[in-house]
Amino acid sequence: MKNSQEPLFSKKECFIGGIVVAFFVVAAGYFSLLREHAIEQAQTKKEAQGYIQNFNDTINEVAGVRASLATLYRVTNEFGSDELDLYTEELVGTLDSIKSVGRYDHIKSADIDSFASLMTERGIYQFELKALNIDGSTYPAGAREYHDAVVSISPFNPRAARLIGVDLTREQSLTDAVSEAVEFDKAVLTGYPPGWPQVADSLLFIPTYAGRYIPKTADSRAMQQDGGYFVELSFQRFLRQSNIFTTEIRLPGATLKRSAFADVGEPRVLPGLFSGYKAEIHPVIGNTEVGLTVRSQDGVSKACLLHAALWMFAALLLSLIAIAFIVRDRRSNLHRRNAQKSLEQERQIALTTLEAINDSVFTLSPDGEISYVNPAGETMVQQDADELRGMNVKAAIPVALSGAGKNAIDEIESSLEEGCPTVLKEIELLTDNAVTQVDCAFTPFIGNEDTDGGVLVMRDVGQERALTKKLEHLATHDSLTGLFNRYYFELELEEMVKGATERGEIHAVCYIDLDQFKIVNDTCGHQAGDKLLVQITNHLKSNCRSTDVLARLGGDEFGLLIKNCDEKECEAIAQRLHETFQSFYFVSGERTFAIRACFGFVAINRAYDHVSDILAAADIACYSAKDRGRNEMFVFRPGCEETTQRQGELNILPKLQNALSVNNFVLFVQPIAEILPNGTNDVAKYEILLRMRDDDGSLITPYCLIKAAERYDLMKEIDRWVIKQAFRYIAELQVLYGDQMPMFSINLSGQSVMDQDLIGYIRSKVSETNVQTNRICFEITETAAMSDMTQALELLEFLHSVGSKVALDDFGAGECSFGYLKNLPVDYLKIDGQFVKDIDTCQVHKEMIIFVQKVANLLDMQTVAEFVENESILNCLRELDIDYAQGYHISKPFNITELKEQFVIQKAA
Amino acid sequence: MKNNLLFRGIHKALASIVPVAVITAAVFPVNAKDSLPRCLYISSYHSGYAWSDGVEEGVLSVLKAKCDVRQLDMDTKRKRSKADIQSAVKESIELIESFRPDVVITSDDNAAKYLIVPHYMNSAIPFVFSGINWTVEEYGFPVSNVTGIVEVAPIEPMLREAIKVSGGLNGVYLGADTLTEQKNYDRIKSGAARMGSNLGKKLVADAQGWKEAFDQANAEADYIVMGSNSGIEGWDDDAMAMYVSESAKVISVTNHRWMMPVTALGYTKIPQEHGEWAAQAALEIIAGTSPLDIPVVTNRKWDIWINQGVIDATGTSLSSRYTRRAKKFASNSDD
Repeated sequence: MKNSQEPLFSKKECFIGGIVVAFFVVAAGYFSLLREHAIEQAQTKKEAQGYIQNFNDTINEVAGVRASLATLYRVTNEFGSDELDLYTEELVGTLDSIKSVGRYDHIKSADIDSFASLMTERGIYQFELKALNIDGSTYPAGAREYHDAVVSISPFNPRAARLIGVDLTREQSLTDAVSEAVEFDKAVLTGYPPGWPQVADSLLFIPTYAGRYIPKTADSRAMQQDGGYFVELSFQRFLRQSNIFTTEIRLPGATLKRSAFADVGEPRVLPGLFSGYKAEIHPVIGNTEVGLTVRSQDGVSKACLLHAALWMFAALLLSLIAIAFIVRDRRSNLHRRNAQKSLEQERQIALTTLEAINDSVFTLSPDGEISYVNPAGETMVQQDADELRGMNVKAAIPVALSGAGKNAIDEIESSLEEGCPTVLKEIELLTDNAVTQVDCAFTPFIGNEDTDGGVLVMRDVGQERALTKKLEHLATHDSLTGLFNRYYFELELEEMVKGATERGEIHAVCYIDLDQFKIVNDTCGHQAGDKLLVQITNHLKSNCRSTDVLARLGGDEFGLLIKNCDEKECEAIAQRLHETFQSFYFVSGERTFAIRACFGFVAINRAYDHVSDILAAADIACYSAKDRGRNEMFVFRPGCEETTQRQGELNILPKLQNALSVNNFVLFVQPIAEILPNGTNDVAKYEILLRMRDDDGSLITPYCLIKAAERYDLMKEIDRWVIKQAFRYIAELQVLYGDQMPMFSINLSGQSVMDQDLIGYIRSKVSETNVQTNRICFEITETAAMSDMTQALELLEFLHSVGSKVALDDFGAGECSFGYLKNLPVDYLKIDGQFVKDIDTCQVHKEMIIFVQKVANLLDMQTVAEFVENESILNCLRELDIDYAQGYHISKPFNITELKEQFVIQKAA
Repeated sequence: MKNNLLFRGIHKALASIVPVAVITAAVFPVNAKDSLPRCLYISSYHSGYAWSDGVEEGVLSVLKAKCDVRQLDMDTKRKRSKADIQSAVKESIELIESFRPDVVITSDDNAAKYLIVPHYMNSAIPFVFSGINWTVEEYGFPVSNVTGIVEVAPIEPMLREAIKVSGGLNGVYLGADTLTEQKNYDRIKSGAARMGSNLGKKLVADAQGWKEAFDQANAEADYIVMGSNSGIEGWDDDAMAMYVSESAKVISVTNHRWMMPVTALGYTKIPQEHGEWAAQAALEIIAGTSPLDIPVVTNRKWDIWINQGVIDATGTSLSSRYTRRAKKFASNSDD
């Protein structure tokens, strides 16, 4: 690409080329002009010579006229005006330069009258001598001794007739001419007099004398002169004849220039370069020398210029054609160079690529000799390229004599001969140090007909295969224990399910969850935990069948797939494995831990279609084992109560999640009545309870709901939902109740008590709803409080700080410690219903309640009895001075929304 | 397609405009004569008279395209009564006043005698006369506004040849009984007298009289000078030629080209010379030359004719030099 932008010509070449072309074009034009000018000059010279010849001829003609007139006059007495007319008509018609011929008579002054009479007889009436003014008007000539009077002129016309009677002696120049002509007996040329009517340039005077012979001397000629002829001459036609001449005719008294009579032609061009043609002659007419200068204009004509322009154009065209050829040649060369460079670049790129790649590349000639090998190839066969080049491929490439590559080289040679590509996988290449596994691909070069060799590419696939295996292992194994991981476990399980459903095979799956693994981790650290896991792994492997699949499914959770044995045998295998745990101890430093495990066992048979069902069943079984107090093995059997319960919890889980997202919970309240001594009860509090709507609209009992929520860590979210909704209702109710606003109790689960963000949440909801927090009591179980006393105390302090009350719920049902109770800032003790519900019949429970009541009194707490289901119980509680009673006897729980209606009814009452 | 429509539109427009323009130009031409000087040509005689036709030809050949020429024939050769002449003069004056010419050209004596002399001597209107016979003295020309060319005949060579061929000095002038012919006779008689010849006259009114006079002249004289037949009643060229060819006995000469059918030798004037001179002089005057600066001249051109039939009838023989140089008359020859 870069090369394509390389200019065809350098600046210097362009400059020189421009100079050469310009010189060539200018030279063509100049030489054309020179040639044309020479041609023009030659033509001009030829014309000028003809022109001069013509002028000389005219001069000669005039001389002839002069001679003939003088001769005619002398030799014939009858040559009068009539004859002169005839003669002149012919003359003027023949010779352009002669405009007219006139006769003047030399008359004595005394003879004027008789001469006038003679003139009248000749047809000139009232003849009188006159002179001409410049404007052509006449005036009397006046008296003189002699007069040279015009007596005749031909052609005779009114204009010429005006000269009849004109006395030539009145014009000095004419007098001089006449005198000169007589003196030398020659014709004399003089300028055309002013006022004369003809269009002429000069007058030629030809004297005549009396007698038949011309007097010899000037004096005698002067005496014998009787007049003469004058010829009016015009040379203007010479000045009009040619366009190419700038002509001057010098006559006595006047110089005639062409420019005065004719257009000198269009200005010529380049006058400074080309001079015109010039010629000059000085012919003599009679006694007068005249001059003729002929000169063509300097410069050349526009036609020459056009001609030169054409030559210049032709030269330019030739130059352009030459340039076009040069450009084509240069461009062709440039393209070739670019192509070569590009090819070289491609070759370098290919070579670099070949040298850079890890694949070994061998180029083979048609007869199987190596012509090229790249560095990877050198390394692969552990020989230098120089050694390999020219070597037959069979000799160069050591291939294992056994295995897949046994006949590899033979196949390559065969492929080379046949011209078809070949691919060979996993050939073992023998070198001095090792065996390398390679893939081979041979591609022949196909020429016009025969194979032109080919390229053999060999790729070392040993590492690739090893890496693949490693990745495959990592994908299916646990890195710590080396056991299969959950992924592989589930794949195997899927196969087993498939075998069970399709082929009726019997298998089993067993979940193994270590008990107290967390204790090891927490007390001895994670390294000890890992060590424990490895030991457990070894323990399990040593007690499993080789055909079984043992996998680590999670932190301390293992899975065992027991293949192809009946259900009982499988269960027995699992049972034996579980029993081995009864004597398994883990020693870490000075501490010894008895490691136990919960086993969840599920037999795989046609009853299961999906892996997920089996995994869920195993999970349930494992949980069940844990629920039984750990170190148990629970065999999952569809339909048994425990299993059903677990399944119910599992079933309710999605409903719980859905209820949270779509507000499918309902708040109920159960009144708590103050037990008054007079036997009456006054409802002063309400406990807010949670219900969930089922798909059919029925309400699900809180027992199942809460169990599942606690098991699957949903209680925090549920408690928050309750707080949010309860605050909203309470805020609405406090508007209605005002000062008579009852107190509402909200239950907090143990998970919420442990929630460090709960305080912030409550604070934000109080802010949002403006609920009166002094009308709210939070109930926590003693188990929740005891699980993290520090967190519980922090929460209780916060609740008290905002004016809320705290009740310790289900007091007596858990692992209650009165020592802890002393440090808990609670306001109410809610006595667990199991003590209350038979207080009227069970003295023990009654005594326990009495004891609790005493403790509460000592700690300045009030007591609330739950499960008050009849009047007898209530009366017992009143006797025991229990402060509040809650139960069906007081009121069943009802929807919180009914509180508003109750208020309206009470208000109306 | 659009170009075609446009072309058709232009073509149609041109096709309608061009004929209108041509017709308009034809109906309302630019009057080139308006920019030309006005020249009035007044002939004493009438069209059809050979002399007058020649003069007219000469005038018009020169003035053509140089002058707005208008012509009036006074027709005084055929209408000789005083009233007719005065009527022609009046018409001429009216035309001069209405046409207001830059110059007036007249031919022959009557125009000068009845129009110029009584009405326009030294007037502002320049006149160029032509064809005035022999002399202008009787009219007082030239004057400030009048110049022209006088009609003279080459009577000397004619009489010289007649005397030479006939060998006698007794001649007769045969012509019409008109003023012009009388003047011609007088002039030629003087010329003959200078040569020692006696020239009688026979002026007749009709063709028969002319025949009779011709016969008498053949019987009495050595030569006959043929005057003009203009004014002779019943003149028929062919009949007269026939008559002459049968009855001619002596040599006859004439100055009139149109009399050659009945004449042996001709020394004829050229009427076109008069017309051309007068027209050229008119143009000079229009160009600014005073008529006085253009001298009154006589005609200079004449020609020699022989009618071999008449010569043969008389039994005369001419020198070969003469017969070689003279033009041969034929009844259908133009000049």
